[in-house]
Amino acid sequence: MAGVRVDNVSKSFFDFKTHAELKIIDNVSFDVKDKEFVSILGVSGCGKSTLLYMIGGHERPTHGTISFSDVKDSKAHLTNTVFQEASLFPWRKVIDNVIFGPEITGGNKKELRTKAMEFINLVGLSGFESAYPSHLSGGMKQRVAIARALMNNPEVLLMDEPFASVDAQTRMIMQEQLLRIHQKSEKTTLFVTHNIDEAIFLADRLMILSARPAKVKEIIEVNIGKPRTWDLRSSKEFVDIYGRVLKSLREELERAGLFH
Amino acid sequence: MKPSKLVSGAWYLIPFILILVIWEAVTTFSLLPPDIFPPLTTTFASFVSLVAEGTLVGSLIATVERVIASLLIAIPLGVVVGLLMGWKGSIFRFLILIFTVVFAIPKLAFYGILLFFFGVSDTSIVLIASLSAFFGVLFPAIASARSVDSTLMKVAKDYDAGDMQIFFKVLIPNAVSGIASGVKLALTLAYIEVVTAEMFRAAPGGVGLGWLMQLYAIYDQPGAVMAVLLVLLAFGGVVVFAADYAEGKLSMWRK
Ligand SMILES: Nc1ncnc2c1ncn2[C@@H]1O[C@H](COP(=O)(O)OP(=O)(O)OP(=O)(O)O)[C@@H](O)[C@H]1O
Ligand SMILES: [Mg+2]
Repeated sequence: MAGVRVDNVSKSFFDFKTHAELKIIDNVSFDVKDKEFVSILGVSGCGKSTLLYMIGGHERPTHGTISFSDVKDSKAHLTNTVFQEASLFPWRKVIDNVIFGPEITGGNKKELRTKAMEFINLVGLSGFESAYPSHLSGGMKQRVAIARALMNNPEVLLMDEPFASVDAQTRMIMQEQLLRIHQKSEKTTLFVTHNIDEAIFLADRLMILSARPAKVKEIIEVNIGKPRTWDLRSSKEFVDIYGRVLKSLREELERAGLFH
Repeated sequence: MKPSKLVSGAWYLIPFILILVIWEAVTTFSLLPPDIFPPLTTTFASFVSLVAEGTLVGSLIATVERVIASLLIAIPLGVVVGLLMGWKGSIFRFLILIFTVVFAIPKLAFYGILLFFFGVSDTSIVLIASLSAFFGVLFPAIASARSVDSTLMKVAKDYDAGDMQIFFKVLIPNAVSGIASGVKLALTLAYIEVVTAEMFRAAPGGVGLGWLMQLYAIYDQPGAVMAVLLVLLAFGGVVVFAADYAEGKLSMWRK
């Protein structure tokens, strides 16, 4: 487990249509504390995935730095990402997808498979361990991707709309499971979502990004104690935060010219 | 099998039956002189006597062995080089012009050089056929490495896979079904090149289907030429079916 420091980070892409630099992330700074769960919200296309990619080391910031503190196990993985889009190896069975990380670092496949069953059970897919991804629904695939990331036990878990393709009922179950997993593993987590309800339910803090180019618009503390249960959604604190977030996001939609 | 399936399957066989019927008609009504175009019966008799002599079987085995040997060289080499080229731009730029030029000319042009070095030998034939078959897998392998899902590459790096692991755990399995058509093409190319090389000069040991055909043509035995041709065709058919079967087995993970 570790903390993350994002320091004055900007990111531009070269836009081939206009032949100009297109600024996606504009001077963003924030800290994520060790063990903290932070939800990131922002209108579509504002740069949430790009931000996560930079923290995960898949994109380089144009300016600024990203650093990790309190790294406890220097040999462990720093980050693992649950990607927004389908990311399973289609030629590997569910269980072999789940063991991919430790297999790369050189574990014994047989032992890893035994351990992988725990994570497959955890995401509610026992019985599907020998299925190929092409036989799973979108939501099931995403749960395998979550099991794969958890199995690798990174210091920081990065999740990019992991439940976007999961149906509403399964989604509720997954949210409560993730909450429990986080409490037990105390894994620092950055969680991107468009679902305000889910963002609040899971997070210690919420970060709202402005429309492109993304700046940190607002950071909201979720002062609701854990463990949490589903019915806290009707509590005053929850409803207040919900209203604040909704207002903030609508402002951004308006700023981006999406309301007429 | 359902009767409807049998009926639709019959369409595959009808052209062959038509050819046999036309063949028989041409010879029965003497539309072509029989010493140029032998009747089925003569062909069949030649076939039986060639099999009895052992020449045909010996030559078939020799040709098959040469084809297999060429593939054992060409497929692994073509897959590895092609994947590396599709994956790393520098390797692509280093090799592509040479390969394009060599690909564009008849491979038999190199056979002369090989004959200087290795004489009329299995080595010469296998090398020339490997060269030809290599291109069958090379280009599909390049395309396969380029079409690897970029998210899968990200995932591999996310779990700290190094270049070797990306090659063996992503590029190779991704290629298995993607280059099946290339493997099939390589089989055909190797077969064509072996038979052509056998025809081009005497075949080593005096065995090989191409050589046998050339021999009977020189000695003016159309029945025997036709018999060898039928064996060539039959083996070609076996090759294609074997390749299809292997492709199906290898890509079980697709739907
Ligand atoms: N490699 C790239 N080259 C050029 N532009 C890019 C690249 N990657 C992303 N972008 C642009 O950056 C912007 C932000 O993309 P990003 O995927 O980070 O948004 P997002 O907030 O995750 O959106 P969504 O909520 O729809 O997933 C988009 O306008 C996108 O077109
Ligand atoms: Mg995104």
